[in-house]
Amino acid sequence: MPKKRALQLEVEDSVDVEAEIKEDIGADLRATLENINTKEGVIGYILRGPTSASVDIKDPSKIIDYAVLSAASFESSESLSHLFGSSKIHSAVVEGKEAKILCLTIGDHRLSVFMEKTVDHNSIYKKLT
Amino acid sequence: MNEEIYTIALENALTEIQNVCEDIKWTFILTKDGTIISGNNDKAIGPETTEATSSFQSLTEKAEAVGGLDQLLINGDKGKVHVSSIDDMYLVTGMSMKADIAYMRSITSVVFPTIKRVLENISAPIGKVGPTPLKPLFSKPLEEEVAEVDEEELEDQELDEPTEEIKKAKPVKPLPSAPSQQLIVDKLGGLLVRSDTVQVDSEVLKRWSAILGIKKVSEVEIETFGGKIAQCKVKIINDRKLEGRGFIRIPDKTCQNLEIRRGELVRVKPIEQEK
Repeated sequence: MPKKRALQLEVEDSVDVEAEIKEDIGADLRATLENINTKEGVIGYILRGPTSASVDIKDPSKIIDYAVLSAASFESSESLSHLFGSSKIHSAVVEGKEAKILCLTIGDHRLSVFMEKTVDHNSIYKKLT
Repeated sequence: MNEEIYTIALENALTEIQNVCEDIKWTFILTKDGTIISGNNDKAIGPETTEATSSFQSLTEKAEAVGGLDQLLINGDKGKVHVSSIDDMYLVTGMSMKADIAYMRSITSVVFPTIKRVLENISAPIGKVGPTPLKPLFSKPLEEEVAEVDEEELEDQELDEPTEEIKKAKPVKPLPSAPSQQLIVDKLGGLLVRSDTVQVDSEVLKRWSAILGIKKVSEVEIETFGGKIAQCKVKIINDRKLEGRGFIRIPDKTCQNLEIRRGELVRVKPIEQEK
């Protein structure tokens, strides 16, 4: 019986370490995003991890539409990049007539930053990568 | 405009764009109804393309949240994909990693809409009177107009605006107020094809005859947008499938001389050979 308890503890410990690393990436990313969100012209962001998500959109009435658009942007970008036989996407910029979205994957987090068309998305990309 | 002609012209435009930009690996146009038009790269269309376009169409619907999709740029590990909105169509382009996006945008945002506009503009004259849209053909009744033009005036006109091609060719009399018509080039090949004879819609020839009050139009002057001019004998298009679609069928050799390709536009007007 005591042996079994010890084994259980070991397993629990290893899971915790992995989760902590992921949590650190997520925490760092969130901190950077908080900073980016204060920039003029940035509308907000949606960050999705494997188990969690963070949403900070300045106009709450648009959260659902933006979340759907974010998911569709990733899905479409992936299928279009498959035409190249490419599986990894570094970034995608979806430009609408009123606003644009920078989509990128960092670790296992999918991030969409919404901004006005005048904002330089390249500078935001550099801050995030 | 006839959909088939429109598609041919767009296919040619895509091929030309690919020729201009070496970094373009594949390209196709996606219309609002989901039709895919590709250039000379047939590989662009396959099951993966259909899947991608279906997913992309879903994105365009969702993009209403940002005022509708204008552009999409994807940076992948093996290349870039650029999608730009042109009226009710999307131009989808796959490029190499080193491709110059600014150059690409100049093509998609300037060149392509221009080509599209030209195609739309030429759809208007087909089957209608008034082939030269810039000025009315006749301000006076036709009979009066024809009577006023005498030999001297015609000679003056020739001296005022000489062109190399006209000088070299046999002396010709442009028919008074000869109407011009923009037509789409289709190549005419084969062993029995005469290199000095082009084929035009019977409807166009009949209309010219009626406007000019002559029995038959037997020769035409073809002018390319590059400024090249040729005079050719003209006959009615003998292929029923191509009849009434605004084509001019030009023999391969003449196409080479005029430096034109299938799908390009030329201005055509009737001329009268001096006896």
